[in-house]
Amino acid sequence: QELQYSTHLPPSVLVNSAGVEKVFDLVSKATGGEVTAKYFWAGQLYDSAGNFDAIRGGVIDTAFTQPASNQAEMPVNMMFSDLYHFGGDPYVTAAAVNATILLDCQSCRDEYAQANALFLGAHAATPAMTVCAREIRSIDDLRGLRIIGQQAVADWIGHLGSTQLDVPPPGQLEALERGTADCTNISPEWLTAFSIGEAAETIITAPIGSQFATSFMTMNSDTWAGLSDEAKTAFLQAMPQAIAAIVDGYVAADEEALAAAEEQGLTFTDLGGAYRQELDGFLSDYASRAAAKGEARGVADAAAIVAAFQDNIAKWQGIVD
Amino acid sequence: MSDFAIGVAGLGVMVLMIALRFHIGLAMGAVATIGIWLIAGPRATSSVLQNIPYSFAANWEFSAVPLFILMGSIAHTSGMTTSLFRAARLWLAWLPGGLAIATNLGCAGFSAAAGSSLVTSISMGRIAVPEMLRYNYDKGLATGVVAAAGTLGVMIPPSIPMIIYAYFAEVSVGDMFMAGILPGLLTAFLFSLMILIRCTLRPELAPKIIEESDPAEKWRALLEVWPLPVIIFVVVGTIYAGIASATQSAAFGAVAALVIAAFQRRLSWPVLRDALLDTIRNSASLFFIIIGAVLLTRFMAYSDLPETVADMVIAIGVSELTLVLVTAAVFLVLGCFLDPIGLMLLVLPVFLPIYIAADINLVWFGILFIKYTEIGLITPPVGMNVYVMRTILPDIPLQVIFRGTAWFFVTELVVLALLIAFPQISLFLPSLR
Amino acid sequence: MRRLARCAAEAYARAITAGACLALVLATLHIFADAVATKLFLSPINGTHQIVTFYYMVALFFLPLGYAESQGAHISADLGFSLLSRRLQRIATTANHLLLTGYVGLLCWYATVKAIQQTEVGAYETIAGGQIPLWPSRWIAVMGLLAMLAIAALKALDSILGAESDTETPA
Ligand code: NA
Ligand code: NA
Repeated sequence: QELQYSTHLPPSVLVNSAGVEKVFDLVSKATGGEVTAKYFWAGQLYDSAGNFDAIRGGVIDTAFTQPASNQAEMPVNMMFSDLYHFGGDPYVTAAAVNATILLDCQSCRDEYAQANALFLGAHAATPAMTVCAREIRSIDDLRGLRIIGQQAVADWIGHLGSTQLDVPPPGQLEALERGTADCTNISPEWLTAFSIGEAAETIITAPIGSQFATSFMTMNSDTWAGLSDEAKTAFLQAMPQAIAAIVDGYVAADEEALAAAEEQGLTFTDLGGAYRQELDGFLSDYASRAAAKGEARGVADAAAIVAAFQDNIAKWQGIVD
Repeated sequence: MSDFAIGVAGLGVMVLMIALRFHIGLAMGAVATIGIWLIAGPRATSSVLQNIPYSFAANWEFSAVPLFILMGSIAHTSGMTTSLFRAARLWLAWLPGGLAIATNLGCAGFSAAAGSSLVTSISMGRIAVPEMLRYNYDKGLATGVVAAAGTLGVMIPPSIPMIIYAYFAEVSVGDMFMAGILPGLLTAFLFSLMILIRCTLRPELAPKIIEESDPAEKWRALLEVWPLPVIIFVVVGTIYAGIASATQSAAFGAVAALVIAAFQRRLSWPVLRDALLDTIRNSASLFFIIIGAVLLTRFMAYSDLPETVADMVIAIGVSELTLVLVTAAVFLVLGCFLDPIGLMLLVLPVFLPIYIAADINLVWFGILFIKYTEIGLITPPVGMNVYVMRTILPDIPLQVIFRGTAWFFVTELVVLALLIAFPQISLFLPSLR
Repeated sequence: MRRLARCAAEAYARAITAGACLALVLATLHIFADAVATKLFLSPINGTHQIVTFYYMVALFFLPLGYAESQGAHISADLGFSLLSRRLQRIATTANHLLLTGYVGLLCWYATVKAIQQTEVGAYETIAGGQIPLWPSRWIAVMGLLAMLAIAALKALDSILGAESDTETPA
């Protein structure tokens, strides 16, 4: 049985090379070659919104999807974008988001089911840092700048008194070099992956949160129902291994990128703890604000989801420590 | 019938339909739709048709295209371009093919601002071709030079395809940009040389402009050319000053053209209406073709044709040189049918791992790859830059434009050979960083 | 009757083309104003990205499709056509128009299916300080494709019934 996998990301990114291919390799091995994969990388077929549609229509068996691309249809799962700043240690965050969706949040799973889809697992990116193309010595140096960040950090950038710009990763180097933007919020890996290090001068080392509101293995429900029990078990066993491998890869890539940045002579600073302090102040009522945002979108059990996620973070923090 | 056979048959039918004067966007789109239906079934067809055309219109990066067309249209309908070419005529009259060479260099200059071939060709084509035709330049030469030199837009930085390549290949965008400069200049130089030689041998291609003119008139003409350089300066300047992104700079160019036209009292209601309608018509016919090209890419992805061809050819390649030559052959052949994004999505992922395994410099390969996509833009039957020329110059038959690009194609092959023989042309500047 | 239908179709195509021209002007001014506001006053106009992408661009690419078709602005080549006999040329032209009608009809059909689905779920995107509805923009695409479908269908009808369409310009 050949399963088609579609993603808008190119084959070289870790989610694909360390995650997706690993899942299918493991499943293929475990089923003695009964299940194989055909990959459509880099949007060869669909962009990220299109992949979700293709899963729903049964056109594709498995795909990378993200709630942000189909916001009206995934208000519950959008909650995990609103919880961005709770993202920390990627092992803990990844475990917590999967535990929340798979064990604690029936409405999250219902949303996938309504789209004829099944959530099999999410990874978590490593925490983002604020990287600037100029010298930053104090929190005041950050005010009034133009800072690149996704919608999830818009409030934080606004809180700093700065302007949020939405620039896709491939355009960020140019924006920083030309001065269209002053700073960006990125996983350190992007310093090399998107050459952003070439324009950077200061790296503020205080982590601000991470992206984990994605699903790199969304499966069509009928496809799942048609799998043998052996294959189903193989998928469920492969997922945690693949998620760990992705996170391992990101952690290593981050270390490498940060070492290169240090060699390059970039300034590393936490602004004497001031950045973290400012962020903590901003986050004092973050959980209740996130729940309110969810409720405004019509998510009935928003507060319960936030609480479950926080519990899972605490629980897995303990396990990892 | 295997998926591969359906892919091959589909391309054959498409060529036949184009030859029989079917709309080109229709030939690509209808063949792709039927092909996807045959291979992947009606549900896949439905999903593709529901998503693809819309998502290519609703695209921020693509928004620069109509705005640059508008900028060129205003400059053209308000008569600014006429002044520029009056000066070019007076100053370059002595040079065989002078206007074509000026256009070629203009494209190279514009490439320093624009990151896409389409945009470069559209902007310069709108400006330069009508003037060359006015001086009885050969239609093929006049359109061919813009179609071919417009491709410099992606070789001379900034360059959108280079950024995407760098992401795919995990090389530095800065290295790619540096690496493109010399090959871009080399191409512009050899294009000029080729035009000069051809127009010397065949003066009827570019009739010498014999005009009595005193030096005072020449200088006066030069004083009148300021609008266009100013508009291009606004586009380039706002990018480099960090005021606008490459996409936003198109709006600045269009506004600058409007303001200057108004300032010169050249902006009347008919001028504005014509410029708008012109832009809208060009954008729509370009968009219809692009829908077809994008659907064709999906059809090719389903048919596995590019990957199968690449695999067959890789099986032959052994030494580094064979590998490079064989790659060139594959990209040139597939480039006849696919646009650059299609090549990038369908064929690049197959070749990159092989180049990595063979330990070949990926920046150098990137420059070669950009060259392949450039060449693909001017080769029939699917030659996007040629189609662009046709949208803005509806009176010139497509085959005339394709014929006009033939000599540029030959020159491109020479450049390609030089780039393969001397990797330093690409790698020298990045090595200085 | 055919003439009446044709007049109606062309009037509709022209009317929505005016909408496309308006979108083009607005896109230029909006992007310009946003960039200036961002640079000078550090206050970008919220939602510029989305409004340009989902409204202006969709309008200016889809709405003039019918007008371009009635003007014969869609590109074709002439590589073997002129070698055919007059009869075969007629057949090829008729086939062209019929296939165009079918193809654009299919595009229009699926755009409508998608527009209905997006309207039902109320598709939107979150921006700073609010949400932008995306579903109405799907109907703009439908409007444009509908115009092209009408023009193409009438041309197909003309060529089947033998009347050479008068706006057809040879390549
Ligand atoms: Na360029
Ligand atoms: Na081509």
